[in-house]
Amino acid sequence: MKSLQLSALDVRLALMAAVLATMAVFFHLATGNFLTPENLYNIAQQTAVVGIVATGISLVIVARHIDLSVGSVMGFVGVLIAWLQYTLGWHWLAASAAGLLAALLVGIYQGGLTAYLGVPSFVVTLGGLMSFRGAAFLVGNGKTQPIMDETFLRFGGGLNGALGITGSWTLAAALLVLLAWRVTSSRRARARHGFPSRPLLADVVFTLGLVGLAIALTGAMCAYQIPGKSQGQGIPVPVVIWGAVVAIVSFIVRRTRFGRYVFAIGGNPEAARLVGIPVRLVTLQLFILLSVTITIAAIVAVARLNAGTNSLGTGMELYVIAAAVIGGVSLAGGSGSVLGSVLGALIIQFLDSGLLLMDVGIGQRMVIIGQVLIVAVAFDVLYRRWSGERLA
Amino acid sequence: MNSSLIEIDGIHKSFGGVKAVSDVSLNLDAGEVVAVLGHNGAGKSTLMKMLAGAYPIDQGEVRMAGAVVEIASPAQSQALGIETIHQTLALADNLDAVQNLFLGRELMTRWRTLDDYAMEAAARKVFAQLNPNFSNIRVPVHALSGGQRQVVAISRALHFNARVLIMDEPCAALGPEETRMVHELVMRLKARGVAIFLITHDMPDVFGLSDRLAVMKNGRVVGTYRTADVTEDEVLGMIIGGRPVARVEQQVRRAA
Amino acid sequence: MNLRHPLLAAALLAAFSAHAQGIVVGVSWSNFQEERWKTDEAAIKAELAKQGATYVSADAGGSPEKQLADVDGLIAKGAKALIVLAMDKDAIVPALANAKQRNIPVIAYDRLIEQPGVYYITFDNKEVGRMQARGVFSVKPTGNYVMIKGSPTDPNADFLREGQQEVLAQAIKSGAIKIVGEEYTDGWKPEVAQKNMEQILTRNSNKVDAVVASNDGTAGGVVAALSARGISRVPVSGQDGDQAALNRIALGTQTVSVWKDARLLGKEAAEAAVDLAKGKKVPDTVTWSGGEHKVAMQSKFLKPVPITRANLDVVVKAGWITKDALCKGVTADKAPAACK
Repeated sequence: MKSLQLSALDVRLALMAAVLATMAVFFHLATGNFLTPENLYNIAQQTAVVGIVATGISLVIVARHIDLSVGSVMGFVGVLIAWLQYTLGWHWLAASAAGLLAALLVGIYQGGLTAYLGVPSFVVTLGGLMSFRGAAFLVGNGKTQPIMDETFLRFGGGLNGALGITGSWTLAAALLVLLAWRVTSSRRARARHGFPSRPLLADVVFTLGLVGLAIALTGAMCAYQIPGKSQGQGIPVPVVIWGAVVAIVSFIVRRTRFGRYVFAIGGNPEAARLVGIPVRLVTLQLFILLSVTITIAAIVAVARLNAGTNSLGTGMELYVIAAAVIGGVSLAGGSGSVLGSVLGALIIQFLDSGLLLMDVGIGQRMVIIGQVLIVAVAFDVLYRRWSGERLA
Repeated sequence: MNSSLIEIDGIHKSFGGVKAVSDVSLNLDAGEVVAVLGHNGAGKSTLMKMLAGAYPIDQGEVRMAGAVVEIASPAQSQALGIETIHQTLALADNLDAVQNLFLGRELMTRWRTLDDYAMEAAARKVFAQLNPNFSNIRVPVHALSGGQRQVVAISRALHFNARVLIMDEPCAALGPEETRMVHELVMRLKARGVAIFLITHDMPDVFGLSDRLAVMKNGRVVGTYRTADVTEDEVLGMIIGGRPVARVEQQVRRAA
Repeated sequence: MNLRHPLLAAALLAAFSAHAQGIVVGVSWSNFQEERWKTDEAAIKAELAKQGATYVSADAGGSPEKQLADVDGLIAKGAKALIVLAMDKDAIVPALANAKQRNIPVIAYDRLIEQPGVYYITFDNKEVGRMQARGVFSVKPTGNYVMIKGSPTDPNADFLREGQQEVLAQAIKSGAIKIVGEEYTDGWKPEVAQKNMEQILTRNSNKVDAVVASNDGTAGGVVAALSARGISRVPVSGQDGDQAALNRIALGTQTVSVWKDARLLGKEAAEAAVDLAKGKKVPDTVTWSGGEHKVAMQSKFLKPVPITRANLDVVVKAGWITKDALCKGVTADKAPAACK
C-alpha cells in the first residue's frame, strides 16, 4: 500500500488544527456566541498583527536566532508612520515608505551585528527592545498621533475595511481554483517523472476538506452585517493582508534558495558553511525580511487603533514567539512551518477572546495563557523525543 | 610526464598563535589514491579543509594541471572539480537526501525557483548507482542509518563529477558491508581517473586502497612513500615517532 | 577653625549659602507612556529653576523594581526631597524607608502611596471620576453602561471608579442604568482597551449606550472599537486632556476629557518639595484618610476641569493646545464654538 507520506510536521499541524476546533466548540458551548460570524470576524482581525510578525519570526527562530525587539520596533515604525501623516501632513504612501525604510535600517543594523560581528541575536535584540521603545517615545514626544486618512484606515479593518460579499467570494473562488490547480499539476508532474504520489483518495479528501473550510469561513465573514450597512462585511482587510504575507513567506520557504538555506543553517550551521552557503548574507537577509513583516504589521496595527501610540506593541514579542513555538517552531532551530505560526497565533487569540467572553478576570486569563504556552512547548519537546528527532 | 593533476606547494596555516600546518607539499595524479595519515591534531583535516575552501590558506600555492588556482570558498573549490566528503558528512539533518545532495548547488527553474523535480530525478539516478535499495530519499536524513547518510555524502562527489575527491575518514562509522561498498566505490573512481586524497586511521584501508601515502605529525609531512615500499610497522613508526623511514626513497614526484 | 582672615570667612559664608540655595529635588517617574507626564516634567523643572533648586530624575520604564533602584540612586545624588510617581503603590514602599531614615520628605505625585509621612499631592481623583461619569450621564441618563477602568496595579484606577460609582449609584439602583461590562486595562494600554471593548460589544450584541473610560488613552481604544462597528452617538469619557482626545471632542466622538492642568500639579509639587526640604509647611494642606488602609495623609488636592464641546476654548486659551491641533479634521458644519 502506498504510504501517505505524512511527515512529523504534518501530524503536528493536524493536531494543532484539532486543538483549535476543540477550543472553538468548547467556548461556543460555554458562552453561546463564540462561533458567531461577528466573533469570528473580530478574532480574525485581532490576530492579524501578531500573525503577520509571527510568520517572519518563525524563520528567524528556524535559523537559530531570536528577535526580542519586534514589539518595540513595530511600535516605533507605527508611531513614525502616524506622526508623519498627522503632524507633518505626509500622504500615507510616503509615510508608509518612510516607515519601511526605518524598519529596513533597523533590520540591517541588528542583522548586521548578528550576522557579521557574531554578536548573539538575543543580546542585540534585547538592546533593541529597550532602545526602540525609547525611539517610539521620542517620535512626537510621546503624543498620540491620530490617523485620519480613510484609505489608510481600511488596512486596519473596521467599518470599511472588508472586501464585501462579492469581493470575498471572488477571492475565495480564486484561491480554491489555485489550490485545485496546484494539487492536480503536482500529481501530473510527479507522474511524468515517475515519482510516487500520495494516494488519490488522500489528496481528494484533503482538498475537499480545505474547500469546505474556505467556504465555511467566507460564508461566516459575509454573514456578519454591521447595522446601518447595506450588506455583509466579508473578509476583513487585515486578514487578507495576513493571508498574503503567509502565502509569500511560504513560497519563499518552499521554492527559493534563500528559504532552503535558512532551514539548512538552522539544521546544521557548520554543514551549511562547508557546502558554501553564504551563511552571513542569508542571516542578514533574514532580519531584513522580518523588518518587512514588522512594517506591514505596524501599518495594520496603527490603522486598527486609528492612532499611533508610543506604547503600541509593548509585550508583543512574547505573543509572537509563543505563537511560533505553539505552531511547531523548535527553539533549537531547524524546524517549523509558516502555517504552524498561523495556527499558533489563532490558538492564543481563541484562548484570550474566549476567556474574555466568559468574563474571566485579567489575572486568571494571564495565568491560563501562560500555562498553555508551557504545555504546548512541553508537548513539543516530548513529541520530538518520541518521533526520534536528532539535530546536529 | 605532464604536471600532476593537483599540487600543494609549501602550504602554511595558523590559528591564532598555533601553527596547524607547516610547509606541506604534496601532489596527486589522476587515478591515484594518496592516503594521508597521522594522529588527531596532526593537521590532516585542516589541510584538506583548505583544499575544500573552508579555511583560507595563509601561505603557499595550489596548482591544478600546472596552473596556480585560488581556493577562497567552497564554491571555488567545487568549481575546480574538487569534492570533499567531510568527516561529519556536512549534512543538514532536518533536510532530506535530495535536498542535501544539492545543498548549496540547487537546480533552478527558469523562473529562479527551486526545481525540485529535476533534483529528485537526478538524485534517484545517482543514489541507485551506490545503493539500489535506498528509497527513503524524502525523509530528513537524521532518520537514516550511518551507511545511508554516507551514500548521500558520497553522491555529491559522483553527481558533480569530481576530478579530485577528498575523503575524510570515510569508513570510520561504518559496518563491514558498508565499508566494502566504499572500497568498491574508490576503485571505481580510480578507474575513472579521479584523484583521491584519503584521510584515514585504518591500515587495511591504506594498504588496500592507496598507491602512495603521506604521514603528518605536528603540522608537517614526515614522509611520502609508495605504499608498496613500506611496511605497516614502519608507517606506525612514522606516525608515532615522526621520523622518516631511512631505508626507502621518498616518493614526492616534484621537488617543492 | 581660625576665622582671623575675613576673606576666608567671606568665602566660607558664600559657599555655605550657595549650598543652602541649591536644594536638589529628585523626581522618580514611573514611565512616560501617557503623553501628559512630559508636561508635568516641564512644569516641575520650571518651578524648581525659579526657586533656585536643582532637578534630578530617573525613569523606571514601567518597572516597579527599577523604581526602587531609581529612588536609591536619587538619594545618592543628594536629593533633599523626593517627588515620586509610583508605578506600583505597594512595591514602592521599601524605597521610602531609606528616605525616611535620612529625613528626606517624600511627595506622592498624582498617584497615592499610602504610607504615613508621605505628602500626597494630586488632583482629586475621585472628583475626576465623578466628572467623567457626570459628563456621560448628562448625555445618556439611561441604558447599558460599560466601565473601562485603568491598570489593576494603579490605585487611581479604583479611586476613579469610586467617583464614577457615586454619580451613577442612584440610577443603577433604580434600574435606569445597567452596567453590562467592566474591565481593567492592563498597563492603561489603548490597544488592550480596544480588544476588551470589542469582546464586551460581542457579549452584549452591540447594545451599549455609554462608556465611562478612565483616561484618554483607553478612550481612544474604545472609540476605535465603536467606530469599527459603525456605532456612533455613544458618549465616552476620558481624562488628561490629550491632544488626540481634545480633537475627538471637537469631532464629536468623545464627550468629555477631565483636564488636570499638569503644569499646575507640577508647579505645586515642586513648590511643596522645596518647602518640605526647608522644613516649612505647605499651604492649603488637608488631612485625608480616604485610602484603602485609611492611613491619615497630609495632602493637597487640586481642582480638575471637565472639558466638553462647550468649553473647548478653555484649553486653547490656557495655551495647552493650539487651535489648529484641536480642530484638525473638523468640518465647518459640525464645528464646536471653539473651532469657528
